[in-house]
Amino acid sequence: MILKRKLRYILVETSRDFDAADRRAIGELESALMGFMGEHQYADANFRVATMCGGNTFIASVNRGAERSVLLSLSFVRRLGNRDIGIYTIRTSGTMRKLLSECKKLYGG
Amino acid sequence: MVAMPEGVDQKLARRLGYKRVLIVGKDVALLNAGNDTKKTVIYAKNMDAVARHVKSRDVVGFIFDDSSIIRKALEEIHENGKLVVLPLSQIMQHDQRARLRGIGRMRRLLKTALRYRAQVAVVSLAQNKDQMLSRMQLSALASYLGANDEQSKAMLQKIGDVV
Repeated sequence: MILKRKLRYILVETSRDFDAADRRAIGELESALMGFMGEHQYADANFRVATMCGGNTFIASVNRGAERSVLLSLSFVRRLGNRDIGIYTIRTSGTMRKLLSECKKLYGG
Repeated sequence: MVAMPEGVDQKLARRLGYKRVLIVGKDVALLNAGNDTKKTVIYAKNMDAVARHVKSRDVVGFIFDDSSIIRKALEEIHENGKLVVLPLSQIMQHDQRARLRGIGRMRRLLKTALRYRAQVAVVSLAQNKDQMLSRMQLSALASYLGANDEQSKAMLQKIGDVV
């Protein structure tokens, strides 16, 4: 039997460059989120950066049902490392394909 | 509504889901921010400020610091069709304690305002690009503070409708 994981995808834009390939940057974002959500909720949400769309845009995946708390927590993140940052959630969707096409439309990439 | 004198990148505003972004000092004035021909939002520190401005045609709403003022003022605000404006930048602070205090205060304000059936508008009042929030985030924050989905959607429209 194939067990299908139901995920929601969030298109996220940051006010400054954010390199999702950089483990340190991801670590800082994850620990900021964990601070807001608490370990228990954070583990339930299973937040992952799925793919980058550009220098300051990425798609994050979360477990279905946890998107609201992730969205709220992302809104509260105002600093990563020593730099101020703004994190905007642009769209949420059930499929990555939809967000990738949205990404092309918005950023022309 | 933002408080960024340099203005807002219109493309960014579109991506964040806004048709129009109101700028303090240009589209809307905060009290003492200058030109009195503009639509104005008043920082109401006490009842006098409400009593003085509630009948003014140019005043569209009030920002409150304290939910004890709001109870006395709400009747007048409601009668004159003014808004209770919640600036969410107040709960977006680095300091955890200040943020939690802000969230508690904002929740009390919203609860009281909704109980008295006042019209509420949520705004980001961002002072720079980092503090801006998308429509989706504003709506989620309004729900987090105690509004239901319908109310939180309406709260995003209100200030744009009157200015």
